[in-house]
Amino acid sequence: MTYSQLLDRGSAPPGVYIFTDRDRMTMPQRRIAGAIRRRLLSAGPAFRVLGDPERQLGRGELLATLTKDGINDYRVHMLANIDPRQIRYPVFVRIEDDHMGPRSELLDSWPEVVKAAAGLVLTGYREDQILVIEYIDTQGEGGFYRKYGSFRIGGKIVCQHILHSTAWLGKRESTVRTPDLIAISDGFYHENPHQELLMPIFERARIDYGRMDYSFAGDRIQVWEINDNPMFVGRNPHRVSKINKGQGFMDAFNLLDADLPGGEPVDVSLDLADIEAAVR
Amino acid sequence: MPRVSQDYPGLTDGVRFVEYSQLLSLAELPPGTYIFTDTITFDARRRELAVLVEKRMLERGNAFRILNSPFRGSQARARFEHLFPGQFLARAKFKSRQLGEIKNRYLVESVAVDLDSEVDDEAAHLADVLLDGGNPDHLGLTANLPIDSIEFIFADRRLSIGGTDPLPKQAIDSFGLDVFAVGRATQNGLAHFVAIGDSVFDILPSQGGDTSLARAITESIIGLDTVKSGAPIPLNVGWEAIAKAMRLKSPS
Repeated sequence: MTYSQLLDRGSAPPGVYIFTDRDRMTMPQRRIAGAIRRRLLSAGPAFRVLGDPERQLGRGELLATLTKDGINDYRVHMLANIDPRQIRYPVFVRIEDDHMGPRSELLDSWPEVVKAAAGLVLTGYREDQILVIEYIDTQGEGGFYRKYGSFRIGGKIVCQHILHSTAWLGKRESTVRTPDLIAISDGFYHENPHQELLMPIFERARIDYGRMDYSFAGDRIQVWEINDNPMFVGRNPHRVSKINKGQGFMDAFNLLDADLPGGEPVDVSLDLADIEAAVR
Repeated sequence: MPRVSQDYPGLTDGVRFVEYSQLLSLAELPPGTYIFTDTITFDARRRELAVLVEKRMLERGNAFRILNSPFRGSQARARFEHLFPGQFLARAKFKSRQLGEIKNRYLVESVAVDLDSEVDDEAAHLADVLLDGGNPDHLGLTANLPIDSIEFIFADRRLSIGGTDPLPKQAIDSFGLDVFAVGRATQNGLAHFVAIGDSVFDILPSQGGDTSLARAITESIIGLDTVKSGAPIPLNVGWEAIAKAMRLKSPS
């Protein structure tokens, strides 16, 4: 359900709530979601909430943190305070709070960065939404770029897929799906090889529900983003997998409320103090 | 723009929509009349870039006619804020009895809040508007002033819906815009400015099909073009000027 629909109900039954799409929220929206979240959690142990729109790290802050922590080997520069002398080229630009991927080709000079960023500002994006991201080569065996997708659902890591691509942008037209590559992706789901690597990163991001997209440069993980409103399956699931992955996801979801006690519905109505706090 | 094509079929023959991002990437532009949109809501950086493009265009003599100058766009916002008979949501102090209708600065349907409703309902309505993506800087709260007239201004030509007396020329000129729409509400015989917009959706409101208003708006917009067509004109907006407009540090 939408956040508005939850508010329209007036009261929320006990259970597990997963708050999603923090990335696309405005600040007032995050604060309203935060107010609803506090209402639910204040009702006691019959309520569990995954997702914290006010505390989760956004893309820019997450990637900068992972570089600082020595996990990512590439740097992210926020346009608002970028120092052109610190940039290692090539780079590309993207918007912090959408999932539309890179907004430029690879850029090799400061003038190119200026023009690409200015195009976005002139379109209507704010400076603080624009990231300048250093390129890192993750091309691997067979000449493929591999993008891994793994979910965190509460306490569990569930692998979704490996996308093999012939281009660094991973555009749909460059994605390759042969029976062998699909089998590798399906094997990844069963083997779940990166759990211990991924969970601390999700913790660092303060995200307990979402899909991490990542690759490897050599044997070092490079995290691209954590999408907290990810798609589970496309229109043609049989095109991308030969196995039923639904059970793994359902098992993880079922664990979320396995130990919840019973309880009474809670009033989730907001008051004007919440609205005033949301818009300041 | 599919809706515009449907509602304003005659317009898309004579008018081209240019994305702002293209103004920097295109090396040249065809001569003509350019209507800048959304100038009221430009932030500082966006306005400086738009002004830079505007300056380059004006340096080309009579090749370009600019309507809704980004340079003067901030005047419209300041003027409207001065005239608006309420408070903007971002700065509102909440006392339940002062909440009436919520007006968006763009001409969209207002969200009516019953003054006799419980405090919680008012919060719910405001939460709905914000969850729908409403920008508190662009949303105003007034004491129950429903829009009763909308005036569309196309330089010297005007169209209106509703019964309020037409805006005096001095009032229109005070906004510093050429192509925009204004909503007014009448209370105790006085007309109040309660909405203003220069976005594409304000200038070309949704009609649900080809209507007489849509045809009149189409005619008004096409009538704005006074520039002879010709070969494309180079713009030459250099990266250093762009970097300066964006206040970016120099690499040297």
